[in-house]
Amino acid sequence: MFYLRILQTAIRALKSNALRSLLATIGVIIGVAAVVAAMSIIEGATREVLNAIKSFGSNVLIIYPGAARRAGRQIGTVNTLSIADADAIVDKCPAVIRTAPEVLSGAQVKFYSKNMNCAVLGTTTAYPLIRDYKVAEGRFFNNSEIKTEAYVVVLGYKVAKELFGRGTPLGFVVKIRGKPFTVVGVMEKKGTMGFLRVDQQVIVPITTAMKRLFGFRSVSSISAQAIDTKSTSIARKQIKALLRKRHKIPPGEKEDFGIFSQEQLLKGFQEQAKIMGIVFYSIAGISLVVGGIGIMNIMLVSVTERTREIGVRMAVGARRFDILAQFLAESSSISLVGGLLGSLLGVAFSHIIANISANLLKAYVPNSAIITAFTVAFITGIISGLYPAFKASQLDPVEALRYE
Amino acid sequence: MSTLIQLNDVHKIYNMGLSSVHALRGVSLSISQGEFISITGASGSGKSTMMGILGCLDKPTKGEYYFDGQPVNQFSESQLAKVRNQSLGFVFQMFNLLPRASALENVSVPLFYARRTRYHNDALNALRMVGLQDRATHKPTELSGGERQRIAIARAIVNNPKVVLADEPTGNLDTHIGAQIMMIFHELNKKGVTIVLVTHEPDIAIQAERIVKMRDGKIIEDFIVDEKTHREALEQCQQLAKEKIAEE
Repeated sequence: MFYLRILQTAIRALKSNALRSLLATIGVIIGVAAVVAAMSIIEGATREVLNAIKSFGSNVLIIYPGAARRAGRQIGTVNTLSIADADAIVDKCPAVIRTAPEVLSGAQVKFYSKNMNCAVLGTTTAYPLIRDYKVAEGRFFNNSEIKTEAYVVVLGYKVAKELFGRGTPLGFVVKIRGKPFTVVGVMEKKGTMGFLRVDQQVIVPITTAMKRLFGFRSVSSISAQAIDTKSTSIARKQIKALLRKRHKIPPGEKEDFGIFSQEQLLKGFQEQAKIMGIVFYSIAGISLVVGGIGIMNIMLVSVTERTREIGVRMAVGARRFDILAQFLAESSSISLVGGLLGSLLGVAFSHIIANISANLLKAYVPNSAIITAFTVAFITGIISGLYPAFKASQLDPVEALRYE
Repeated sequence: MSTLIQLNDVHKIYNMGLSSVHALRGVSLSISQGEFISITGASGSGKSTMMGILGCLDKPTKGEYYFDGQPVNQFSESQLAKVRNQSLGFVFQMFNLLPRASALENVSVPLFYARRTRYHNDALNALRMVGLQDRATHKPTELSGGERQRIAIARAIVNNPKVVLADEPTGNLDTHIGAQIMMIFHELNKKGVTIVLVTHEPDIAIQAERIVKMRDGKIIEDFIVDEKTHREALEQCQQLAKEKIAEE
C-alpha cells in the first residue's frame, strides 16, 4: 500500500514533466526496440529453418558430389556419385537402413494442349519411405519398372491439378521431353520439403531418367536414412569412410563428396543467428547505456530541482529510505514506459523488416522477448536511478530546506 | 508541568571546508509541556540552528538533548524521522507546500510517511481546524499566502504532535493575515500543544508567554513576559485579525 502510494507520487512527478521524461527515455525505447526486433527476427528465422529441416526428416543425410580432384587439383565437377555408391552404403554401413539415389533436372511436362515446367526427379522406391512422402492416388513405381527403365511417372500434387484439373490422371500418358510416360500415381500435397517445392515435381524411375531422359552418368545426390535421429552422426562417419575407400581418396586428401544433415544445417544457421544476434544486441546494449545515462541525467536534475521538497518530506517524517524509494520508483517508471514503447516499436520494426525482405525473414514475437525487454528496461531504470536517488536520500534536511 | 524539551550545554559546529562555524556555543534550555515560547535574535544569532536541533533535523556536535525524556543524541536516522513524524510539526516562512499536490494531499503527507493506510478523514479534520475544509481540492498555486500558511499548519498538526515549531511563520504575510495565523497558534496552544516560535519581529515575539533571546550562538536572555504586556499583545493581535475579516 505504502509503496503503491510512492509509485503514484512518482508517476505524478513524471507527468508534470511529461516531455522531459519522454525525451529521457528515448535511449531505452531504442534499446528495447532493438532487443525485441532482434529476438523476433531470430525467432522467426529459427522457426522457418526448423520447419524446413523437419520436413525433410531428422534422420536423413544427403550426400552430394563435390569437386573431383587429382593430386590436390580440381579436375572436374559433379560426376563422382553413382547408383552403386548408394547400394554400397546400404550394404556396408550398419547405421543406414536405406538409400535413394536421385537425379534432378527440369523439363516440360505436357498433356495435350496443357503443359507445365516441372522439376523431374529420378529415384528409387526408397525415396518416398525416406522422405515420408506418400502416394495419394494410384501407386509408386516398383523395382521391376526401375530394372526395365519403364516410361512411368508419379505426378506431384500441383502438377496433377494443373494438367488434369479434377479428373484422375491415372492411366493417361503425359509427355516429358517429348517422350510418353504413363501416369501410375499422384503424390500427396506436401508444400515444400527442405527447400524444394515437391508439389511441382514429377518422379520417374532413376534408370529411365539417367539413360532415356537426360543421359546422366552420375547421380545428383544420394539420400540416406539412418536408423534413428541419434545415429545420424555415426551414419555420417560410416558413409564418409566407405566413400573415401570406394573413391580411392588417399588419407589427408579432401573428399570429392559432401554429407549434408540436419545438424549441419542447424549448426550453420545457428552461426548466422549468432552473428545477427551479436549485431542487434550490441546496438541494444549501446542504446541502453546511453538511455540509462539519459535517465540518470534527468533524475539528477530532478533531485536538484526538488531539493526543497526533499527537505520538507524529511521534516514531516520521511526516512532516508523513503526518499530513495521515491526516486527509484520514478526512474524505474520512466524506463518501464520506455520498455512499453520500445516493445511496441520493436514489434512494428520486426514486421517492417519481414515485409522489406519480401517474407524471406519472418517475424515471430516470442513472449520471452517482451519479458526480456521489460526486465532490461526495469534494470536500466533501477541502475541509472540508484545514484540520483542515493544522492537525494543523503541530503541534509536543514540545508535542503534552506535551498533556494 | 512536565519537561518536554531539555537542552544541556549544546554546541553545534559546522565544518565549511577549511574554516568552521561555531553556530551554537553551549546552549541550555528547558521547555515544559504546553508552553508558548518565542526564540528571537538577529540573523546569525544561531536561532535557525537551534530550530534545526529542536526539530530533530540536526544533531548537536556536543551536549545533550532530551525530548520527552528520550536521549535524541543516541537516536538513529530513522528514529529521528519517526520523532519528526509523530511528535513534531513544522511551519516555515516559505510555506514549503508540494506544488503539484492538492491541499488535502499536502496535509496527508505526514500520515503517508506514518505508513497509515486511510488518512482522508484525519487530513480533512486538520483542514477543518484551520478553516479550509472547502479548499481541500485546491492546489497551493490557487490559494493566497495566508491560506497556504494555514494549510502548512494543518499539515503540521495532522499527526497530533506534542510540539509545533514555527520558523518566521508570518514573515511572508501582511500584518492582518499574520495576526490571523498567530490566532491559530494561540488556539492550538490552548488545546495543550507546545509552540516554539522563531521570529525576529518583536510584536510577534511578545505574544508568547516566554521569550528566549539569542546572540552569537548563546542565550543572552530568557524571561517570562509579564501578564499585562502579554494580554495587551494578544488583544492587539485579535483586533488586527478581526479587522481583516471585516474588510473582506
